Amino acid sequence: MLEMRSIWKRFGSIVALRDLSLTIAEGEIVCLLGPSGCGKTTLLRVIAGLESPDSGQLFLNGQDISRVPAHQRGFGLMFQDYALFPHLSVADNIAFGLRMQHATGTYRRARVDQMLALVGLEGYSQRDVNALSGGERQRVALARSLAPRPRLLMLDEPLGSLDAALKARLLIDLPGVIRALGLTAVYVTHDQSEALAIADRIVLMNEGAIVQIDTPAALYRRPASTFAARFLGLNNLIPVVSRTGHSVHTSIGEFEVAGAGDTLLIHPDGLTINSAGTGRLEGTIHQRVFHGAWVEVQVRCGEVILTLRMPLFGPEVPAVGEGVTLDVAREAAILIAQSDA
Amino acid sequence: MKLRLRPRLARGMRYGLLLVPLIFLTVFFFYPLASILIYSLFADGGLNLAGFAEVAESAYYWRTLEFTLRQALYSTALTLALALPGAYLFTRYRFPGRSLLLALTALPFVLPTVVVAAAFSALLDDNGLINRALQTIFQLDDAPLQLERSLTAILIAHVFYNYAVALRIISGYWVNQSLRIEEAARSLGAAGWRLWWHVRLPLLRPALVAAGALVFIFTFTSFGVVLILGGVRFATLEVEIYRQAVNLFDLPTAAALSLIQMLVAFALLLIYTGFQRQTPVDLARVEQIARRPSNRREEGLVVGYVVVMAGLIFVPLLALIVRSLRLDGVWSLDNFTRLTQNPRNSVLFVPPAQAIVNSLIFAAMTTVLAVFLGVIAAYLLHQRRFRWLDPIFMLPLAASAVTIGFGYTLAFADRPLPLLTSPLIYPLAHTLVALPFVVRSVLPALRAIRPGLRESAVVLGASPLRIARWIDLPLIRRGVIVGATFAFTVSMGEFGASLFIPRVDRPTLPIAIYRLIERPGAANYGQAMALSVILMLVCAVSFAVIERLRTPGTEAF
Repeated sequence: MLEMRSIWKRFGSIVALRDLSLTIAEGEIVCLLGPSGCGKTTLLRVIAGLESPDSGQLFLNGQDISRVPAHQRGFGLMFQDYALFPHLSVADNIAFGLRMQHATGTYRRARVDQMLALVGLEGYSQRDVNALSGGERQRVALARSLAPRPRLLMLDEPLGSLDAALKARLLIDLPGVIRALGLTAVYVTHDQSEALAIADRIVLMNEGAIVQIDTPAALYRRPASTFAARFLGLNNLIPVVSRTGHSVHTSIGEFEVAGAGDTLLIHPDGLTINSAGTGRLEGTIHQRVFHGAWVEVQVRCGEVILTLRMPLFGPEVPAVGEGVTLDVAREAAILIAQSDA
Repeated sequence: MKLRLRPRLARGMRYGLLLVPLIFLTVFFFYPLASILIYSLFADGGLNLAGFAEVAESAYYWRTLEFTLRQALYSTALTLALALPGAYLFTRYRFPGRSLLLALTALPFVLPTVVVAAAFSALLDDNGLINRALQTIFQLDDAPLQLERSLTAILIAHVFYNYAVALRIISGYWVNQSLRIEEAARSLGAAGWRLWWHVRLPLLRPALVAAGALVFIFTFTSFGVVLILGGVRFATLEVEIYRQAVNLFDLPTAAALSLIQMLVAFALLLIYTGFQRQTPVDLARVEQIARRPSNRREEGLVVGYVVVMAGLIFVPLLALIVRSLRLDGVWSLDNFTRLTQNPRNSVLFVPPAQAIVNSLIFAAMTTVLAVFLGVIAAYLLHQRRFRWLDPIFMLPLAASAVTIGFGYTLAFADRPLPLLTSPLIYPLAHTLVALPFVVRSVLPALRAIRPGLRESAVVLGASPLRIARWIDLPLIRRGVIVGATFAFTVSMGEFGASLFIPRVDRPTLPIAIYRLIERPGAANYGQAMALSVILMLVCAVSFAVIERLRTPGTEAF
């Protein structure tokens, strides 16, 4: 549906997007994920037409739209701070795009009511937008970008400024609304948990380029590089010393793994403490961090510190300094490539 | 082809529109100033410095320059001396009526010079309120205080005028200073005068210098107050330029003096902008720091200062009202009712009431023109790449009204633009003076619009023109109204430049007041008072509008 071909964008000496190509399919929710400054917001603004690329093209259903001005693209964009018009009521905010399309008053009113019902804000139409709570603003912004029936919905960190409880609820509601309408959506976030929860596909970016494109499950299970692994919070990375066939040698022992790469990743979720003391890795408890639902346990194995998670209501967490042995689940250890950075 | 041409044409028109304020500024500001420069250097075709030679050799002009600087220095020192304790009390103490009083201190700033001069004349001259009161109390035959045509009267009026400017700059800066520095100094043993000398004053230095420089500029270029309250004996450069150009018709000397005056004023402005800090008055911060006076001494200080300040602001205006209602020793409304008559020996060629009508018409025209140009100029300056133009649009503030008026007599007397005899010259001159005020009211509002709002509108399908219509205009509405009110007030009160315009048959309100006040006779004086009261009321209403609508923290200066 939407295709980007070798897009470059520079701001002075900084390269925001380098030779970026990406195709988005109809009805798909794509998350642009990456650390701040990775170019994900710039890419969103290029799609929206708010920035023009230095070179490269943008195609919508096969048509080159690179030179179509932003106000003629018919896309929806929800800003991080929502950018609600402070001088307009809730209804007038939502109706703004329809007004720009010269829609009739009757249609506008009907569509506004429909949108308010969709986001669960019935009866809010005459409210002052400045008096709304964060969650209500977020929903008005969503309704405003949906009202003109955009061909593509873009969301820039839409949950960024909300509190944890509201965020958790909207992580369920938001993809529901988008899917119910059959919309194609581009969702920008720096929060991996948001991306994993919402996306059909995640586009992981770093320094203006795409690092990896995958489904959430595939990305989390098999990050392609140490950058991807670290960004997803997977920090059990051990350098490979040598390999023979399917077996690789590291400072903490030998592992049978498929694939290529010079670094071994052991998923924290695949590590467990063997209560009988007969696990294949030996170590001592280095540190314990309480996270609520789970306890993060750091185990020192020789030079390496491995992280694993223990559920709150599971076996008792050993004390710092205690010796333990660890089991490694099948498929929890994979080979990945060392990133340049 | 058609598709590609139309956006280009639209963009071309947009840029063309942005040029209009620059063209206005060039024709009605830089061209007159250049005329003065050329006239002062090349009076008869070739290079001719006779004007400068005459000025340089004359002890009289040196004395004039010396007096101009001296009175400005005295006025500045007095203003700062009064404003500093005021800033202290307003930032540190909370008391009933405080915010109202703070707002009212700005009232003098919008009052026309003629009204201020008339008010102090009504208060201080030989028949003034103070002398009358003293005569009644002490049973005296003669006026005990000889303040008519005195330096003292000029200085008091200057303090009245500039007090609020200094107060706002200093207290704005003070509020943004961390109170903790002072607390640290206290904990280290500083108290009393040592706290002031070693901590507070050094911390405030940038604000004191900025306020001082601004007040010095204002009083250095002060014209109406000096002309009316000082007379010939206390001529400043401004008054001298006016006298040479209009009364003596010695244009080369006037041009030479104008050039000197401009150079000094621009040098002062450079000092001011060097020290100026953008320090919006953060009212929330004031509320945090301010507390109730906690003992008798503090209460006494606050009450005493408030009485002095309210007295300074209201007593002259009260005197003006009282004198407007007195004629031949009795209370009467005749001063007002006679405004519509045109007696045979009148100094005006028309009934005084006609001046009110003239001023209203000119002010309406000025408002429309200044808002039109000012909003476009603000749009221009709002764009990052045109930011450097900002000081250029502020320059008319630094040029004195007399310089502008004199420049107009040189530039527009003849071809190619013989505008001087057209009544349109009034609104054109007033627009030039009002333009910086409009720009300063609209620009902060425009800058306050978050870029996300415009981008949202674009993505929702709004073209640049519809963004202006649906987003920008509604959001800068208040700023535009404030700017329009400023433009209206400036035009109603403009005196210095208007005085040069030779349309004696079309006097504006301030010109009529001046002509009446200069003439002997109780009837003329009474009518001048009546007209001043009317002008004061118009400006007070404007002031109320401005104070109500102005976004907090967007001080113009």
